[in-house]
Amino acid sequence: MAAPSGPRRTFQPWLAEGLEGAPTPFIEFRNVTKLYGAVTAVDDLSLSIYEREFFALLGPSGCGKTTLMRMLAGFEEVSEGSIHLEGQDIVGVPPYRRPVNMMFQSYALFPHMSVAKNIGFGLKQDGMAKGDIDAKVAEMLSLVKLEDYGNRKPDQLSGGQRQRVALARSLAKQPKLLLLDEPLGALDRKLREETQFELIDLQERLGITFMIVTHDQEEAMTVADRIAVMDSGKIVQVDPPSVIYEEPNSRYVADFLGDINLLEGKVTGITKGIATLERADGSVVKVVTDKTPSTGSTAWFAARPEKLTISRKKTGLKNPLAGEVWDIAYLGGRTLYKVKLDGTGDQFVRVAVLNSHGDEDETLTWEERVWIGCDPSAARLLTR
Amino acid sequence: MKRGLTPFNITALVFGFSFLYVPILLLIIYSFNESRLVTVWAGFSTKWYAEALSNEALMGAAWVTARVAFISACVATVLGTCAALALVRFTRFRGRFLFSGMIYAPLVMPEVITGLSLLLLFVAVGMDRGITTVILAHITFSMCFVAVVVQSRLLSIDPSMEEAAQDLGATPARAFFSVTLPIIAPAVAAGWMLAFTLSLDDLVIAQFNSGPGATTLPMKIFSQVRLGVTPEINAVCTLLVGVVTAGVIIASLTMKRQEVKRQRDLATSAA
Amino acid sequence: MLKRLGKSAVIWLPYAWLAVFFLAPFLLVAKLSLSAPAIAMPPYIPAFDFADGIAGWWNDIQKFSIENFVFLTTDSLYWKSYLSSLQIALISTFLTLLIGYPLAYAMARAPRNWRPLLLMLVILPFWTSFLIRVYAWIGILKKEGLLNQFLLWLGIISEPLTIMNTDWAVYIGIVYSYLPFMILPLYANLEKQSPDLLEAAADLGATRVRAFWQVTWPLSMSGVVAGCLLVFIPAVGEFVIPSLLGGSDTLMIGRVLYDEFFSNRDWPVSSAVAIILLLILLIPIMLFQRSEARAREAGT
Repeated sequence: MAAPSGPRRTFQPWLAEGLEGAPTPFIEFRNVTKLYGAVTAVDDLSLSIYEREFFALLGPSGCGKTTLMRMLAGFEEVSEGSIHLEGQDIVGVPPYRRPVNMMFQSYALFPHMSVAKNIGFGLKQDGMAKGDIDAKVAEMLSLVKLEDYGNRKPDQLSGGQRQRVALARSLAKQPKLLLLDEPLGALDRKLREETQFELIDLQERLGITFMIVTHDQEEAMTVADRIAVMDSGKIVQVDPPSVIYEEPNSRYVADFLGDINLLEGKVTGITKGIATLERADGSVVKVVTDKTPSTGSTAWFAARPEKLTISRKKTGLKNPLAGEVWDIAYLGGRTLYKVKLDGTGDQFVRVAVLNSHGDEDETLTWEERVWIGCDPSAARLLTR
Repeated sequence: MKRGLTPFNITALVFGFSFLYVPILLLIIYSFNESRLVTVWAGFSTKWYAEALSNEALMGAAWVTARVAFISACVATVLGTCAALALVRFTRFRGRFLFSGMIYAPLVMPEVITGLSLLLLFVAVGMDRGITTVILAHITFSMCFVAVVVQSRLLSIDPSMEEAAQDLGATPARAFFSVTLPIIAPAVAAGWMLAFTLSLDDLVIAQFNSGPGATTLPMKIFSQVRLGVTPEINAVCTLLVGVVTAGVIIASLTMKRQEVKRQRDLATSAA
Repeated sequence: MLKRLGKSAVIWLPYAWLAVFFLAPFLLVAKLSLSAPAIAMPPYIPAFDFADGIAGWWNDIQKFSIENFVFLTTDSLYWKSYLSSLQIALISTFLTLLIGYPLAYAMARAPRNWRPLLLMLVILPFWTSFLIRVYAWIGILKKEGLLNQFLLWLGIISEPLTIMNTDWAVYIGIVYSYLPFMILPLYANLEKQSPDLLEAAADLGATRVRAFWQVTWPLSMSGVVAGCLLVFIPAVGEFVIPSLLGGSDTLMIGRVLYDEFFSNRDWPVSSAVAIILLLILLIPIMLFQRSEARAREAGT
């Protein structure tokens, strides 16, 4: 696709939510519930998405993210609540009258039509003149760099080319909102990464609101302005990728995005924004927080593997915990140590160490006694 | 382990296919027999064909059969395709269980029962038996075969195909006619052919439901066969087998050619 | 609105058709089987008239007679025919399996590019007329027929065999006519089985014969069941084959029903015969529907 059109601008309309003069949300789910018989697929969910936003719905399969997207496209009816597009309630509007287009996971290209006919299909439904359709199709083909493929049938294309045709077809009608249902799931890893950046660029240039559904956390982090993490029909957290990663609001989110070490303990006190947790074996860890859990409640000390340090000596370590090297995974750029902490229960932590020196003469080895440390400000306190 | 055909497998194939084909081949060969005694070869002749073709009763029956088969195949194809759509697309509606039962049951129902029951219906409503009642009866059992053929094709296509069409602005009806129907067209055509040959073939149900002036070819053949094998009937049977075989072969060759053409397009476009 | 209209048309058109032309006729058969015969046209006294209203219906129901069914038990012709139909159908189904299985197996093991042709060769006879295929055997099986000529010529027999107009001719006819029905589900099943399975069995020490009986055969059970039901169910009610190939002593219920109806013109008794036949076939038909539904679910 075209060359990148400059670095991404800062774009955070959601920060003004609830303030005077805040932008109106482009899409609003208001207390939406979806029931399939006795099964609740979406549970009293409210969500605002802003114009020109690249929004990702992230969650494991069966969490309701696809149902949410299909309700937006009009393929599923809403059991309770309402969905607003530019302030208009769109519940009950059939899919073929919504200014929303969708790119399907299977691409759903029509096998009996050429690439050009596929892309022009939506325009033809609108009764556009043939000459205009041809011009638009040519424009879309060049947008996705498939100028010479207009006469081919879908089964004569590679997976990546099919994905581009599906994208061009869903963009041809210049929808106000493009829905992407696991759009890159069928591509191999390398092509997927390339395409992610192309999608970002395309979205910037066309100024269309994109909503992507994915179970791939890296994909969501790469493309999205904001990510909504879903679990059993509810949204757990909505935030930009960096916030989701650095400030997860729950163990579920922390665990779903990236790797996390969780140490359970009882809160014994909070002073000057530093909480003290006592673990089951009596050892104590401290963590910086703005939360105020009551004394005696259960909480978790959460730290990403790269925030931990590992050493043979205890000196200079904050929150030192003793343990033994259980497993070592050399991953090229970094090495991952799995350490079994002393004390009751099989508590393991994972520590990532950057291999910044060419030869690590001090390489740790299996069954070696080590100390783990973590700065209280690098860890997070999770209460749920 | 060796993959491929063992001597045992080859024997099974040779024996099995001989069993399937030798009787029909003998029938065809002996239709060209000069002698009236069907089982004694007395030289090549096509005179029985001439005799069969000039037999007005036989040709009249053939014409009745052709009309019945054509009309019932067309109606059965429409109804059967609807039934397949109902079964695949609408998984929940009242009486679906009864519906699917009524689709599958006629596939294995003994013909004497189907024939008898339909006759009783026509008598009960005071309908005179004739070509119309035969057509109605044939539609009823062949639509179920069409439904099964179309259903398996429908099950194999991506359900998001029609959704994609709607998403792009096509009404459900347009989405069906511009996307789904072209994709299932080969199965619908196969269903039509199946319905046509089933009707062409049927003896028992026609026997029950036909009336004066509506004697079908199988009925005619059956009444003559009971009196004994004649070379004339051999000739008629050969013609019938020839027509159906040619139809099936042409249909599959057309499909094959489309496939080859597609493959060739694929090869040239990849180059 | 239009969508609903389209949806209801798609469902109700075939539904209504089958209700009128498939379900209603069965109720009529059931009703007639409870009516008394009469010398008239139609030759029966209706036992039930829909026009009578509820009160009339009750009156009619009280007049229902199981006389026809009692009659079926008193005349040994009927229960002998049922038993003999079941026996003939069972033996023929077994013979069809015996011939069909090796053929389906060989087809599934044939080189991949042969398979479409072989499949086509199995389906082709299925398209050609049933009646003609049965008829073709008359010239072969009769006393002065081609089979006897051939065997006499070979010197295997000195006297012509009597096959025509015996149960053996019926077996041959059923096996021949229904063979494709047996092969198709078997082939579909066997073709899906990966040859890796047999290699794994061989790798674990099984001989080819053991591998077949312990791996291939149990896995093909669903195909065997479907194929056998597809042959057995219609064979029980078969009419054309026993009347063309069978002898006068070949009792098959389809033929009895036909004669009762056309020769004796006893419609109520033939309806009763049909009802009993249907009850006998109810279990196999339900088994068949279940295996169909299961195959379809697995297919999606």
